[in-house]
Amino acid sequence: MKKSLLLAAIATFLALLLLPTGAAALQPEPRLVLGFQPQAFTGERVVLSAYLMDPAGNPISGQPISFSMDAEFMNVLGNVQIGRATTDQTGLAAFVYEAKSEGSHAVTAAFAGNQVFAPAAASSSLTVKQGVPTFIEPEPFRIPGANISTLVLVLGTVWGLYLVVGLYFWAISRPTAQSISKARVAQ
Amino acid sequence: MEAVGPVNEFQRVLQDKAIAPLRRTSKSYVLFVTALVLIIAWGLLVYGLQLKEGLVLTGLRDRVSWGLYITMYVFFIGVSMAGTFISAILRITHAGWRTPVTRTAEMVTVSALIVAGIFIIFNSRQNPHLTVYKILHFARWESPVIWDVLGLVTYLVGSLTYLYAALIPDLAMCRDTVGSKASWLRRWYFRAFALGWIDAPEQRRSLQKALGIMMILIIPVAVTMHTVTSWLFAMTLREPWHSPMFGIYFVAGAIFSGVGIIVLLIAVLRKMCRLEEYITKKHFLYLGYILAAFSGAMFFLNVNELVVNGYTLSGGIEMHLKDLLTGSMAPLFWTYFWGGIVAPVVIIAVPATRTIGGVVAASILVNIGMFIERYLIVVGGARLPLNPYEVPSYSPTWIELSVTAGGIALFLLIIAVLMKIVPSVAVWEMVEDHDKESGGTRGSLASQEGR
Repeated sequence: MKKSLLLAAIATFLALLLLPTGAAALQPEPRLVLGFQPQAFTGERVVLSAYLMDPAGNPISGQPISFSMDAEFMNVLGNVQIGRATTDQTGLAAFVYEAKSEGSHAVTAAFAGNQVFAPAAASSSLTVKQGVPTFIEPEPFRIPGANISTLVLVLGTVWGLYLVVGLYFWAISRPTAQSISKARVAQ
Repeated sequence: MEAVGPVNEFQRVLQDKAIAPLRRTSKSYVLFVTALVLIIAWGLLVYGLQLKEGLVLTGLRDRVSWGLYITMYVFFIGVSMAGTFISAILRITHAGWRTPVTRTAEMVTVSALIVAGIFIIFNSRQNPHLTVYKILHFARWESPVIWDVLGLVTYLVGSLTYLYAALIPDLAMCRDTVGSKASWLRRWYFRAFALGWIDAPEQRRSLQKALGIMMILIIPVAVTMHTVTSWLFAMTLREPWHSPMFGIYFVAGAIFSGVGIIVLLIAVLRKMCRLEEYITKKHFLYLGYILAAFSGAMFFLNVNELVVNGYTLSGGIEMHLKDLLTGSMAPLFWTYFWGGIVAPVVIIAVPATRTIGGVVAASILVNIGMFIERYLIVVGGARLPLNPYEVPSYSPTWIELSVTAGGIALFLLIIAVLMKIVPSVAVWEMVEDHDKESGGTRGSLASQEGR
């Protein structure tokens, strides 16, 4: 009797442990479709469209979708969130991204999941080519002669005069025999 | 070695008094130096902890990354200004009353410059040798930071040279009077650094020329140094700092606080060496008049800045002015304005308080005020956000306070050590002045300088 009670308790405990996992596993996986033009020029605006649908293909509205892309900063690779949008009645979440850096970038749309649906993500590649420069460096304003040579000239003059003073110190330390005798006479 | 010139009674008494601290060490001096060494040791210990754990132990963060250490750097750079600068100005203008105060002024400059440079290292996360290496290795000649480093080194070497040039005859005097009982090290030191001075005409000519060059050269070097330090702030795009007035502000403020420090030091020196006969009320009053004049200059500069900025209220200046005049910085600002600028003038202007004690009190107020002013410039400016963030707060931690106390103790220790190895007053200049006044025939070196 006691043995059967113990086995029942263990079975109940295990069932309780597995219940949440089982429940999560039971959540339907939605479909997330990401679409945008595959190529763009720097400075061009690209509409990133993500459609969120249930397994039957019905739109899921009012859910947040985050958009991210790969990025490199000071030799560190990572994923940077570029924006967020909420799905409308048709399941569409759209975000306008201004292409800034050249190269091929992996753009990802992600749905974090909710109590009904499991998380979902979709990726696609965006190739950005050189377009109109987004930043034009102004022509530097230079004063003729105001450069490193001015600094060298100023410092050189000062240190040169220090050297002259050093030479006077050297001269002080080496009085001539004539001046020594004059000093003796004065004393 | 040959003895230097005939000695009259005035010279003998003055020599005895000036050399006394070099011969004898009083108990109070030993206690004072011990206390300074202990404070420095504590500061070094805490600095070691800061190096180990990083600047996170300080109140400095990414948005207010300049705090108490940079405030102290600017303060000591300012203090250094007055020393050599005033000494040189007074020499050029043949101000006869200058002679008892110039040596002290020159010593202040040298010690303040050394300590100022150390405060820059305190503000760095790196070990000191790495900081120096990185400054040299990654130097950008277009950067005011590098101009400042070059200026600091140039000014320090110039100040040391200027101090030394005026010391040579006095070192020779020490060499000739120290006697055979002195330690071999002391005798060697005086013999080596006196450069064989025997007051020969050729030597006097060489010294005249060396002093003539240095006293003229050191003035533009000092002004440039302080202007370049102001550029560390003025050449940024941060609103309260980005002002062409900063150069003038820094130079005027530097002379102002530097004169205050000189007054305090000569007051101590006068008591310590019993120099009441030589450093008289006249010297304090003349220095007090310089204080009052620069107090007026600082008043003008402050009011001008407030009125012009307050009228336009461009960019983030509105927030800065509110912070300064009515916000969290207001108690400090008004203490600086009334206590550090207005009160010293009143003390010196009123006949009843125009005394040695009054000038000393005014000098204490000036230096407290000028420290606050440096803090308001550094921290007040750094607090202004460049992006629409909340205003960051900063207050120094016990780590910064301990390291700063160590730095201040080092400044005082350098002066205390200098007073033990060189005469604290320029004996030969004072003797020449006295001879001139009493119609003596001894040739004047000081009066011929710069000709």
